[in-house]
Amino acid sequence: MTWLDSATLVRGPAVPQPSDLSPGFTDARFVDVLISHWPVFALLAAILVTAAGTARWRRGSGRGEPVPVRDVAGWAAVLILPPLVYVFALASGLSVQASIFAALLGATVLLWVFSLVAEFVPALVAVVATLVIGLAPPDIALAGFSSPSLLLLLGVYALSAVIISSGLSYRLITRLLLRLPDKPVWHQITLLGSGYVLSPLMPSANARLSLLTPVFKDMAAGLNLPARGPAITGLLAAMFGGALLFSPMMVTSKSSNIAALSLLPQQVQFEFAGFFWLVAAAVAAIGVTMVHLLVLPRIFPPGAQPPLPREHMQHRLADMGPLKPAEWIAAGGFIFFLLGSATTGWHHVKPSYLAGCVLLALLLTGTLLRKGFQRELDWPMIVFLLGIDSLMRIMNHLGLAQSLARVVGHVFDFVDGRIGVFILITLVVTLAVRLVLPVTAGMLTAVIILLPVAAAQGIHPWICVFCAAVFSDISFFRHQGTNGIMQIRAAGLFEETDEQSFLRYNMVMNAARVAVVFASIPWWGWLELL
Amino acid sequence: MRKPVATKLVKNLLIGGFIVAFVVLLGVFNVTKPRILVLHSAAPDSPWVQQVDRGMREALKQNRRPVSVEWNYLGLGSPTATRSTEEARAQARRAIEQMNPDVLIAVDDEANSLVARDYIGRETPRILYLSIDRTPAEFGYADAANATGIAERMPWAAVRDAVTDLFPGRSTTMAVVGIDNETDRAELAQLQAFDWGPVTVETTALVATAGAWRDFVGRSAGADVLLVLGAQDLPDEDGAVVTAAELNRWTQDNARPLPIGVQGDFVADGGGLSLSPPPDDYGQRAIRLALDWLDDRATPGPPSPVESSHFDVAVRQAPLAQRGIVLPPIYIEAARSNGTLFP
Repeated sequence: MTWLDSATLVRGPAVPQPSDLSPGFTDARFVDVLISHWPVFALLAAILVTAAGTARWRRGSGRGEPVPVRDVAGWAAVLILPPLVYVFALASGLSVQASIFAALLGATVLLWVFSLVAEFVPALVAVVATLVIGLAPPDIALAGFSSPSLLLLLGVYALSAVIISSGLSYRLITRLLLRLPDKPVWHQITLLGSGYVLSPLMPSANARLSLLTPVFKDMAAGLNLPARGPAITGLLAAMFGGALLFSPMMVTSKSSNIAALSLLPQQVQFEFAGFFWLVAAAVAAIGVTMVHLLVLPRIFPPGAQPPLPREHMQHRLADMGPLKPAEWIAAGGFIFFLLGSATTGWHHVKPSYLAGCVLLALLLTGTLLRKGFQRELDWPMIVFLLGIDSLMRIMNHLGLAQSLARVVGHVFDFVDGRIGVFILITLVVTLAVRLVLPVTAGMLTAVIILLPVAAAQGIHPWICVFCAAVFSDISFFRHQGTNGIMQIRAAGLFEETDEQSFLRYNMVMNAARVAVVFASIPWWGWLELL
Repeated sequence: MRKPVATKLVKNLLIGGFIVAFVVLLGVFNVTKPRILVLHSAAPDSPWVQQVDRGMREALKQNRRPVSVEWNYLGLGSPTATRSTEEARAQARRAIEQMNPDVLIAVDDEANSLVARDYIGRETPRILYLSIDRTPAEFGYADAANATGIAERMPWAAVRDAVTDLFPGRSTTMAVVGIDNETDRAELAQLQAFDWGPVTVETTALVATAGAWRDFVGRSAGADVLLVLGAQDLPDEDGAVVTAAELNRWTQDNARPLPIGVQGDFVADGGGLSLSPPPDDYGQRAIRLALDWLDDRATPGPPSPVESSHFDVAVRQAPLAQRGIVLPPIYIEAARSNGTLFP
């Protein structure tokens, strides 16, 4: 530390401070930046011309078999658009490093949007490029892979695999189905309720889906539901709703809720850290649940379903005999993880470390063997989720969200304190950000952009966070399926169900999310949050 | 029949094009990203150098812009240095040619007088001098468009105030000892140009051996204060090397006058009091200035040169108590907040 600060200026002109510079996009600046980067575009033009020339020359070579136009358009876009994103970002006043990362992010999103490679590849491309360029040090760029999330994902996926392979989920679901009334609505409510119960304990919709997937699979098998029919798709929608709908409703239901809470003023953090979050979100929570229960029988009409083969099921149960050691271990692991997660506040061991203990138990007891560890864990999904985590950390490191907030500046002054307009703005910003970013990063980026707007407009900051949390679960395109749809696809569940009607259900729930937020306005007024 | 445009060949060519563009653009970006070379006068094991580097690394941690930074050490300044000046200079010049840095941060007087000043007037490297004790004009930097930096002003006023506080109501005499190298010669020149009244600077010596150091400390017994410019490893009569730390400790234990250091490691080695330029702070500020200079968008042009008279206070209480010295509380608290208050 320096005791006295007496540095004196000797000579030189006054240097403009960053605040004196006027950020913001202008056509002239865009053209200037474009011209100053002409070698990049010359290289791209050379590549395109070479590709076109080679394609023309080799026309008769037998490699002329047609491929979807979408693929060719996608690769062309990946080649051309990211450099333009870089130029646009630079011309908009973003720093060089933020502009480069925006371009990398652009390439990543295009690879996702056009489904040009497997889902986990684009995130890896961005992480590797970040390291090569030196945009972020390895401890940041690879932080996702060294975070506790790795243990959580490994543990939960392993547990989920063992619950299926041991036969535990089949046994439990068979017993449940034999006891419940033989009606689709009860089967769906079972899955919805299970997801809701897991939500406050497990702040990851993907982890919840992993635990519910074996239950869904065995339930569908036990009920003999016809493939691609409304009944099995309705059941899938119920599982998806159970895992996802409650995410924004409690602070611990979504990791980005916990992160966003830390961005709020101290006293607001204290107020919303516990049960009051759920109280303030009550109208929305009841609203989405009601809509879900109402639309499910309409989108997936139950129709005539064969009666449950009770006798056959009872025979199967009898054949299974008493619980096998693997089932005991799987059940013990599940209960240990569930109870451990619920009592974190008491023992202070994070759920991810508990998942690590469960993983160890499964491996040490031989319940999960080397082959199972290789085959039954969804490694691409784990790499995808950890890669996304790393991307978010790189964004934070580079201050990309803060740069965006600065560039947006006073664009939203027209809100003028009107809550309805603010909700619409939150919707637009969150959806725009979610076009590019996954759920967690998308929500947090939207919050960082919108919190200053909320503060300037006299709107309660929690409302801003809550709206972003609800709207970030909305998805329209395939690459936006980080809310769980991507995981459902990766697990192959769409092969047995009607994907189109499931996506129709998702669209209805998208609209429901917007509606319930607006419906919450009087409730927030009554709670004196407005 | 018209052939389809979207064929496997076109798709493969586009994928190949993407990979080529990806690799080429990343490669070009890496090759063209700004480069900074830090050239130290002393060796990497010198405590001063290590603390300057620590400050630099701290500032680089805060930096988000991709830059390549490399370090080079002349290893001069100590009479026990094994390399010849010419050898060190040639090696540094080769490092500069090889790296072709955008900014050369030259730390202390030797790096500037032997290497950095040769690049005056060139487009690259831009010269950022750091902790020089002679004036920038003496190196030829005054009118150079490609030179700026931080010149060191030794904290003589603070030393004088401390001496008058410790020996109130009487005229005080001071002896000065240092190493016969460029930095200490420049510091001594600054010291001799300073108005010390009411303190009288009686004798000064820049030495090259441990024996000469001990002799001078013995001869200065009549002074009230012994100012230690900065110890270095010195050769002894028997050919052994007396380390800087041993020399500092010996001086504190054996000097009759009160020793005051002007290097931070004096107290860390066992000395009682030092008022020294802050190496961490220098390192941080040098990197910030270099990054500012490299940023043509927000702050075009070279940053303004500065003279720094910042200083750190370091106190070791036991040796001061042995001599019956009671420091004003402000020194103790300054050292405490700096993390340099020793028991």
